[in-house]
Amino acid sequence: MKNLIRLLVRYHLFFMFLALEAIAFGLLFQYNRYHRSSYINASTAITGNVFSTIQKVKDYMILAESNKQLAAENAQIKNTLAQSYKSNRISFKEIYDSIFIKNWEYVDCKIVFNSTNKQNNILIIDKGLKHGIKSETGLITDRGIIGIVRHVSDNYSSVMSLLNVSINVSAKLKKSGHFGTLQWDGVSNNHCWLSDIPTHITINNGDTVVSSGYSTIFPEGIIIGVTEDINRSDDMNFFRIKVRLLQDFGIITHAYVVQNIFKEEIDSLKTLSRHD
Amino acid sequence: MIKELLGNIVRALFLIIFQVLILNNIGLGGYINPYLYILIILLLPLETPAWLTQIISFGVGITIDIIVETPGMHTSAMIFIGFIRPFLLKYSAPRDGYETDDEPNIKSLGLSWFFKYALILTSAHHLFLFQVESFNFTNIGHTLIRTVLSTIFTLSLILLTQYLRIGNSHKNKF
Repeated sequence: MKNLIRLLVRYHLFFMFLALEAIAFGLLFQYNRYHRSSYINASTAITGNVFSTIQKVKDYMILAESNKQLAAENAQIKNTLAQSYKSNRISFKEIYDSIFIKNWEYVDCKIVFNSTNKQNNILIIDKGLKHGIKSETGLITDRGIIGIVRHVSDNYSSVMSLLNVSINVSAKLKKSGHFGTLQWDGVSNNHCWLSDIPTHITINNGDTVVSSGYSTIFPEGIIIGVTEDINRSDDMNFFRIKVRLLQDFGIITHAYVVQNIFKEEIDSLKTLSRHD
Repeated sequence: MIKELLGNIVRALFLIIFQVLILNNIGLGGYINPYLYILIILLLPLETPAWLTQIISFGVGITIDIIVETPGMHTSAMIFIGFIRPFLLKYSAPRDGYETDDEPNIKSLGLSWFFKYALILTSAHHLFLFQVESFNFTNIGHTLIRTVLSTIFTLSLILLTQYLRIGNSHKNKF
């Protein structure tokens, strides 16, 4: 209040000017027909604008609510579409044979989610427990290894992509048979690094790298990529090989889950041998 | 003091009558309307308080408005120059400030000072008045032309009255 009075006193000339002008314009609008109509027109336009602006702001305020409603409606409509039903068909057959024991089992699946731009990329496939998928199984396409199934729910499974810095895949050079560990360095979506290959063997650019078959996840000989750049590792005892992946991870739509029927058996043996 | 007050009142009455009876009937091509009555504000004593200047402007403006039946138009323009006059006086003061017997006219403060002072106030008044009269910005060009031409005319009249005054005072002196 004190400040207000101080303000009024300080700028009293200006406020007086405003007050007198207000009186003058009051007279102007009151007694001059032309100015009156101009004033009314202008004020109508201004109030109209103000009201429409207020309405816009109000619309904006309820945007979240409207969006929610629309989304609910959309979901309801989409629920009735044929596309929202996925096939529950399981496309593998068990064949019983006493000479050849079936070792690997393939289940085709569709990729429903795929990330390639993170350090820990994952995929989601549309097959789960119901379709016989177990965790710690492999995901492949005809062009290479895609990843390892980690978590399995009733209808879906999540897959740790090969483009994941925490994945290790046992791989070998097809020509010489030497095996090492394949890892992604988190940089290029098209390259992985094969390490632990001893330096005494000769490797050429363009040699094929395949899965080694020493893990229970992938069968032997699944193609992974070709060598592109061959370096010595820091301690100079091993090669560090840049491998160009054959599969473009950005465009995968279908893949196969490959499961080792004897995985549990092998794993239990491994656990037993651990104590030896 | 009384003499000065009386002089101002007489001048005001004379200028208002002169304005409404003669000058308001001059309309050259719809562009030139001289408004000499602003001389009332221009020639107020230098020491007039700012608030009083505004009140007098309001009074003069509303008087003219009531006579010519345009309530608000001249009043608003007059209040405007009544508001800016004290600031103009303050910023256009000579380096040593005004002398006690200075008056805002050519004789006291010189032609150059008075010309600038009158030009600013006259053009401000005319611009405000003509803008309020047309009351839109679409034909601002027309308003500006009217302002410039009428300012020239009014300013000529103002300078003319100044030289008449100077002549008078010389006559009185000798």
